[in-house]
Amino acid sequence: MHLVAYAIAAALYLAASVRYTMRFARAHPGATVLVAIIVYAAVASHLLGVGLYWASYGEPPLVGLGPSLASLALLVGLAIAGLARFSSARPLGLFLAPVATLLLAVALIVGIEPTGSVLAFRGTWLVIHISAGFIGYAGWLVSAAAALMYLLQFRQLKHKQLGAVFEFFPPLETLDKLAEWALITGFCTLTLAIAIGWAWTIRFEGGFRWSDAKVIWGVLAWLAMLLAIWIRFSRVRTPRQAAAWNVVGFAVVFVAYLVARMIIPETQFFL
Amino acid sequence: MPFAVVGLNHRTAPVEVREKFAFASTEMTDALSHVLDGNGVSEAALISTCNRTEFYLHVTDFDLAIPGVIDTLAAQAGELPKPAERYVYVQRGADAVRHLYRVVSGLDSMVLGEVQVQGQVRDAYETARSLTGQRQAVRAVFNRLFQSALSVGGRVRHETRLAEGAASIPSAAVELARKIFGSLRGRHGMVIGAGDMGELTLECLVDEGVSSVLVASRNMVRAKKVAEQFGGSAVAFSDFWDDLPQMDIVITSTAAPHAMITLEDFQRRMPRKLKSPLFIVDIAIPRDVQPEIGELPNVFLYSVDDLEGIVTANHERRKAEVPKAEAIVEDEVDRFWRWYSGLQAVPFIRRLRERAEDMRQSELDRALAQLDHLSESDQQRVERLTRDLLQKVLHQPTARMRAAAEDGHEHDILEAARYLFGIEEEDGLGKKSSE
Repeated sequence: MHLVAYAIAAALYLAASVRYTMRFARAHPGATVLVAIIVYAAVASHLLGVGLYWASYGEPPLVGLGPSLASLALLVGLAIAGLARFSSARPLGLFLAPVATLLLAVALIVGIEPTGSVLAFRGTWLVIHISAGFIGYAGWLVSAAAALMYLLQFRQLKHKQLGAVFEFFPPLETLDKLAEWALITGFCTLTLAIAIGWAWTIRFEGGFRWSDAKVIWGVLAWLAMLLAIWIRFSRVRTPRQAAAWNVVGFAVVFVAYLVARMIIPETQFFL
Repeated sequence: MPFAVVGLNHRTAPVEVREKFAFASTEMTDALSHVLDGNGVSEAALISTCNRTEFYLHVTDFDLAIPGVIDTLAAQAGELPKPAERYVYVQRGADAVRHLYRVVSGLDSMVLGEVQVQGQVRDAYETARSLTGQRQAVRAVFNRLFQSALSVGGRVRHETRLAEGAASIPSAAVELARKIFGSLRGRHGMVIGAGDMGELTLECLVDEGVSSVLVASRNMVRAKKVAEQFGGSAVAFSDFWDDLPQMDIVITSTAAPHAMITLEDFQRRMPRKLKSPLFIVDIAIPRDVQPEIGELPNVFLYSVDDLEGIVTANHERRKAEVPKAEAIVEDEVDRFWRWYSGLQAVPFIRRLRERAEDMRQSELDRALAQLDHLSESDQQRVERLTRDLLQKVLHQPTARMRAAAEDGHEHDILEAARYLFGIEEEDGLGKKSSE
């Protein structure tokens, strides 16, 4: 049953993506009651899928590629739903809704089922560790999307090409603040996730497993976020440079993830 | 439909004539009272803006009403280069309703799709509503007409893009500023050279929330006057560089024959990297700001040509929305016409119900007199039964009568109903008012 709920959520995210794209094509960000309803319905169906999964397997969908992607998609969906309430930031759904669709579609293709692998540690701390990690990545994704929109809007304004991007995208100030807020939130939660994982391995395994791909990647992501924050608050950098570094950092970490997944055994990944 | 609009606008009269016809807000109720005073007018409203002065009338006698209103307008205007009739237009019936709907939608405005007219029509409606007693200006029909007009305006703005995009250079500057800064509340603005266009742009920015305003001009008297107007401060022209680094928005509109903000000066006097954006609106001809400054990081430089380009593009886009807006207007005129036609059946339906109620009551009294053994609660049941029965019997014919009237068949259907129910025609009973 949980697969049906997930599939409905994916279809609704797709519908929201189409709706956002149509709005963008018409350069018309207003009157988005319908898209908000679609997004809320998608998130509701998604939450139902999580609940049914949990009820069926006795654990939240946090371990294994499919469940992890589905949960990450849920966080992105929640971000879109949250932003849908604020008219100035609503157009961010143009980027985030297709991401949520893609993540959930891939999750459905690879299968949203427990992997059966023995977990390093179970219980509340695992849930907090993984959830905080996902919130961290989702926060960075939102931040990177806002930063990318900032760069595009900046370009339009600078070159006086006042087309659909100018009309549809939020003001530079809004995008800058949103990127900053999401980046800091993501960084804090990712720090919490890494700290919990680090504390556990110190206590039970005597130290960090630096050869573990997910540890390397997690630390790389954390460092890249730290760099993006440092650039943002550096006195010599402009908001445009902060946005550019944010997008580049996210892209590097994302590409690193894809490459790592192709060459490193799956057992070393939780996502 | 016994409606008319009598007035003039920017198409029929130049501004120097329009301003003579304009009514101050304090004069409007007197003008309405005068028009309503035995002039064949049952309801009236007056819209008086810089672009139009129009009386909207619900008329009982066109021959009395129209000349009377034209006389009122002529009296207001006083001496004119040509007779008042040369500037005034009259539209009747559905055309008058259509005109009001087009006005409130911004379709008849000088700036296509302007939004302010919606508020002006609402004010005119409220002013007319404030007249009560014998000279009540707004009754059921005008209530409906103006409420529907305001809803048409809302519909056009919601369903079309007629009002979107800046339609003037100052509003284009505001639109750009909003896209850079989001809210303009608390932003710092400076106008260099206090020309008229610069002042207008500053006014728009202050309206949007720009709080701290500096005015730099070679003419300190003028600078102080403009600064005072916007609650700002005047600075000597030679000192504007000192304040420029603190500004978010700068408007330049001097009459200098060459660029007075050069790249060299800018790089020397301003921080090397601006942390927050600087929006420069150069509306001077020749330009006050060297164009290369626009290439510096975080500087957004727009000239008057750039802003005019935005305005022209927006105007074209607005024009493309006109057919959609006109279709909404037609749809709503039709809806209003149906409602108004439906009104013609109301007096007859009321009379029919009164007649039926009288019959029910007398038959009930007679029956209850013979059924005195019934308890009080049973008597009430019988009473309710007759009432419900009557309601059910009359519901269908009255609903259909109203629907037929709304479809424009009120004359035929009411004639037939009169014949069938034996209700004689009385004055105003279901007779359609004629123009």
